[in-house]
Amino acid sequence: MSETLGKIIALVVSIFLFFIFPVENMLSRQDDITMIAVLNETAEFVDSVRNLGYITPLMYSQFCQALSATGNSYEITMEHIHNCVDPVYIDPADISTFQHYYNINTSITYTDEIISRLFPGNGMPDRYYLSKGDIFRVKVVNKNKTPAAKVQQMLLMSELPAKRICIIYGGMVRDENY
Amino acid sequence: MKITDTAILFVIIALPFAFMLRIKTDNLQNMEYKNILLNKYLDAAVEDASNAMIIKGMNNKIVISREKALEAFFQTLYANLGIAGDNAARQSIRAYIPAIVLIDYDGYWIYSMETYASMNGVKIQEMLWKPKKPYVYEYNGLVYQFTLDDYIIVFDAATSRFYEGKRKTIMDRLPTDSFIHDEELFEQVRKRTIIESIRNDVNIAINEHNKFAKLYGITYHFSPPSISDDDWHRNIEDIGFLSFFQGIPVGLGGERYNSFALGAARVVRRNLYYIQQGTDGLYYYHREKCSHVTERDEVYDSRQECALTGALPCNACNP
Repeated sequence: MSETLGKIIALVVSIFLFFIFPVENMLSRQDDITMIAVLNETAEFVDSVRNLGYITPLMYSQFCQALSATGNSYEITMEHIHNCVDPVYIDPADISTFQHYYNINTSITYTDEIISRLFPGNGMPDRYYLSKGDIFRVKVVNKNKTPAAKVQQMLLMSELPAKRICIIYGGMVRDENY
Repeated sequence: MKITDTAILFVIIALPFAFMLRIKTDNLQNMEYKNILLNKYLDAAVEDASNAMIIKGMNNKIVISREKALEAFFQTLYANLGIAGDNAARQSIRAYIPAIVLIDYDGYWIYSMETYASMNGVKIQEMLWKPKKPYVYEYNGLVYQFTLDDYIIVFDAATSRFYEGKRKTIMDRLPTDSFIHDEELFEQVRKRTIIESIRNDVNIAINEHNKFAKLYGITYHFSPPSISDDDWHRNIEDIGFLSFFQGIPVGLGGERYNSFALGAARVVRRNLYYIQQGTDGLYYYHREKCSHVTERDEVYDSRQECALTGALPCNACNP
């Protein structure tokens, strides 16, 4: 009886050592490498936007394509912090109330609006322009559970958060090359 | 052999591989961070250089100062690398910069290693600015000297005459078989000439640098980076500062950092803004290429200027 129990335990342990440990190890490394790739692609995309001062539909779709080549699906959040130079009026509808000075205000444009500018539902895809001195920021987070997360979930028998790969990259727009 | 023994044996064999894989991925990760960090340092240094090189000279004339640019470039680079007070480290970092190009309106300077004999016959090797080279192209007996826009000097060797001015103003005085009459072709030749002349000199400078790098104990083989035509075209549109930075070790497996950066000074090309009355009776200011602009009589240089006239930013082009 005790020998059978010992054999069963030995079998369970060896299955863990033979299969699950190498697989888990491999998949975790794969996540690490994916993160490097995502960081690389994000840095390239953001830096080219910062250097050019605009986003073309092609740039964005190439970025998405490069990300999806890693085998995961991602949530891409873009943020464009624009410095507006606004003249100061007491009543904006009445030209005579102009105060002869301007304020610099910030307005933030988020992913949805940028995408709708790039790919308008009707009509041609268009560029999205940024101004020199604006801030452009991109956050990429994976949406699906990576294989490594699934294996770990199975081992720990508990729900793990999907967020494994999270890259935030951004900076000031350096030029307006349009 | 019992299954447990096999399992233990398997672990003994597999564990070193797993460890090695982990070390390798960690190394890869560190390398990537270092690459991005160095890119940022180089960008910041080049940016500072291109800001510092513009000096207002006499009569508000703009003067390009190579020395100021270089000083700002190295100062920022040293400060970021944390070696501002360390002379030895500064010297060794300089050895990783094979060439710097200052792209001016009518020519370019290259800063690279040069060997020369001093007054008392001692051989000296140091980074030096080479004489300015114009963007010259020769075709059909005519010598064309280009600039960053359509201003051009043409020398006719047969008649020993110079023609100088904008393309449109001098093209009638030149023979009809010249490419100067075709605007598109002219632009192509102009850009190609600028790119090719800079590229050739950069290649020579970087290849030459190998000789000197050995003296500093750098085993890296410097080779000109492949810069796509697209990048070149973007880089030659304004006065700028182009720096190469190569060969810094970033990984355990002998990986090296290899990059270049360009900062433009925005002197030749400027952004223009137009003010126009909207359909609601209010005045709006627009970017140059905004589809709402119909009349382009009055030009403004900055958004601030536009706002001071009381115009509001356009909603479509969001200037």
